[in-house]
Amino acid sequence: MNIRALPIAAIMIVFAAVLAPAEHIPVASGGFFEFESRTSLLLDLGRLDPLVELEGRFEDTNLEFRYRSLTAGAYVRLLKNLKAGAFYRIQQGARHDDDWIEPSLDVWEWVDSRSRTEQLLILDISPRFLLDFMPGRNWVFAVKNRYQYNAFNGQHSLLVRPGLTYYLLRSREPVLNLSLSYGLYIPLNFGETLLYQHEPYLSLLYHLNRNVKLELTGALKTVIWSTSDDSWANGDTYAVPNRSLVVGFGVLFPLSL
Amino acid sequence: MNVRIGTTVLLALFWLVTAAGQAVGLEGDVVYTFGEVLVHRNPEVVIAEIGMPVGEGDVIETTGDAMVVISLVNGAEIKLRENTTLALDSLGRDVSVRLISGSVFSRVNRHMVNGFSVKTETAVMGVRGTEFFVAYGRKIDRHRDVWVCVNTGSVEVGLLDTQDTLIVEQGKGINILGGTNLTSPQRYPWTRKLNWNMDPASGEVEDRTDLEQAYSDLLDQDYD
Repeated sequence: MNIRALPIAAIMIVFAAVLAPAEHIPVASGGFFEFESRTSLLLDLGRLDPLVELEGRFEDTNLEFRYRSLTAGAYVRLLKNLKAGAFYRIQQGARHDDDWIEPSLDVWEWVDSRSRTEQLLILDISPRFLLDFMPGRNWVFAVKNRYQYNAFNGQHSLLVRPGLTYYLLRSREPVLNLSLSYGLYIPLNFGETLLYQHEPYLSLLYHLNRNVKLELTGALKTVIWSTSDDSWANGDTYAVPNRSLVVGFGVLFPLSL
Repeated sequence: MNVRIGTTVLLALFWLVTAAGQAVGLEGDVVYTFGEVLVHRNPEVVIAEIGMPVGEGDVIETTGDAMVVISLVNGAEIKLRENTTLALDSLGRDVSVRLISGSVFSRVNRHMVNGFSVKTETAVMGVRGTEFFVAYGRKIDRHRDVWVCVNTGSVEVGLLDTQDTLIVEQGKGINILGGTNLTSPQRYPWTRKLNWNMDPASGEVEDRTDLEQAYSDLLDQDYD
């Protein structure tokens, strides 16, 4: 499919989605709000920064605790302006396109994936640039590029998240980071849309001290559900956007040895 | 009569010895050099060598990748890191040196020196017996930052402009922001790697600590 055909295909998919029977299209399974939390331990070993992170998310009806993950790996600073990272993640409760199923005739629902364990490989490369010509001089522009392979379903995806961070300094030390970025999630071997998720992302990081940081985040997340296997079998095609506001809280422990 | 003459002669000799000692006390010796170290002694500029005497009014300069250790006979030693310029303003019982650029380690024997001070363009660090480090930092405001770290003893830091003072205790350091604002003394992780040794016989003398570590690297702040 060439680039020019993409908008036409997208319009056709949306058109098809509108025409499809309503009960066959994935529905939002909860409220507009989601809450997530994470706790990270980061070691500063010079150029190498190992990381262990626990993450959980409350979503769906009654804000169930559904998604949870453990990530371990390390960042390495290749150049002054370039960091790379490699991580292993084990997760439960993730939702994919094919989790929209028809367990019995004309009954459609999301798979309860809370007990389904998935393993992922994550590779990250993020260039960063100090914008010292900006007012206050403490601005950094970064682009987080993250490749993700999910061994459970063989999906490859790419996150591209350009962002701008302002550092409020006191006595030459950061006190507060304010970041605004936009995450673009690109499916590499699945889905029918160019993006399967996108979100403006706002983050506030308060440096309580050198070893404890508190984080508050907000993301207006749009997930675009593409046709599941069961829907294909049923003769349906769709690309349905689902929007939610994800509020996150994090406690980070960077340690210097 | 003979006793009186003898006493007078002895007193005269004592005075001569003391005066000579004080005269000698106005000098120091270069005890270790590495790389190119220059001594500016108006109107001459000479290359420093081990054993070379230095005195009041001399200005010592280390070029890139060079360093020098100078023993001041009154019980103080100083070690200049690379790219440093330091003026020996006074070398009597009260020793006063002036850091023009770069960074300097000082070790002071409290029993032999009345007073010892390191001056920068905006502040003065005074001690009676201690080991401390003074370095110019980044120039973010009108004047450069000045870092002061104390290894042993304590240092009184005074601002020349406002006359504000504070004591920095052993193991702690301060950053004089823009050379004019005293911060609270605290333990800075980067100072743990400073090499305080000034005796080549005891091991490595050069200090290769990257002073840029004193500042937060905004490009290294990655928390997700």
